Amino acid sequence: MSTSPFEEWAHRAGPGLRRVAGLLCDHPADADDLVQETLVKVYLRWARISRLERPDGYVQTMLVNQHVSMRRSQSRDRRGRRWPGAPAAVDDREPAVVGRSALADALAGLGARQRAVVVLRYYCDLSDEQIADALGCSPRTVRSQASRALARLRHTATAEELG
Amino acid sequence: MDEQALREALHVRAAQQAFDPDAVGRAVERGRARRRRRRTTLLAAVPVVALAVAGSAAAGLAWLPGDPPAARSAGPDAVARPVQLLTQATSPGLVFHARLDGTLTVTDDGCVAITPIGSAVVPVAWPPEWTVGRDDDGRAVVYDPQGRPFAHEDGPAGVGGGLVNPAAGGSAIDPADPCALGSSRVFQVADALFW
Repeated sequence: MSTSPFEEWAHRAGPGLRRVAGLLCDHPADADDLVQETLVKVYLRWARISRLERPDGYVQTMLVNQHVSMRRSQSRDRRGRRWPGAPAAVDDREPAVVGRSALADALAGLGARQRAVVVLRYYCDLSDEQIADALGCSPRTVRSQASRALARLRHTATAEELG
Repeated sequence: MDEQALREALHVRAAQQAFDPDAVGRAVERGRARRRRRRTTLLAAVPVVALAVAGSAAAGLAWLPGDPPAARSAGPDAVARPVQLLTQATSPGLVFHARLDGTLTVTDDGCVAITPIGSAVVPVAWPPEWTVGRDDDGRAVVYDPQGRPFAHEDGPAGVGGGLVNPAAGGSAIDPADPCALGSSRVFQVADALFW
């Protein structure tokens, strides 16, 4: 059976998206869900996205924003304002994953947007202006978020631990 | 920890992540299902809009902006009454921080809105991926992009966003949409932003 252009693209871009998702999420299952949900949205808008000059970059931005949105919903659940029918919230800040790395623990201490800034800046190598565009904020906000995130990471983990 | 150490650690962790190729097939299936659901909702909305237009014309009613129609509670006859959402053309940005709490309300036109306690019904523009249907009891149910029920008709509903003028330039809301309720102030839900 032949695959559609969307499927071809998704098989090619999926591993990269999953890597970014793995850095954004504490749990592999959350990262899988994040990629899955993003791919569904891409599928629904494929006619438009496929015409973009850099669809991968656009979808990466979708993924990051989806993550921020999902984290906000989860924190609302934790505050007791559960939506009717929503599954029970899981506190992903608990050290549920035994033996995970110092980096994972350090990243888990960051807020969703701070973590997104760290991943986009130091893994995806985006400029502060590109990150600001992706997150819908100013470059100044990006710089302050990055600065706070680094300070927090330094407090949580040393370079030796990360290595 | 310096920035270079962080960069290297991130790349090491990223390299450990594995992508499940089956996720592509699942995404296609779920996307098709959502498209079907959206189409069903849209088709169901056509007759109700036509009936509303014909009914208004026959009654010779003039509907003034700022004077939205009365809401109606769910009941046995609600099952046959289609419901529809006013959705935004594009996902909203992270610019609104207001909160709208109240009761999920279905207007006479089948539009889903929110009625704050002690106030008139407020027209709501939902994010693009949100959908609406009816449950077994005939109550309207609004679903979030993940397909989870967000709120039921006559039940509590709280959303984040802000009031906007749909007729303003750059607005993601169609001011002519019947579910804008002819109002110059529509609550644009920002919660599901890119959604």
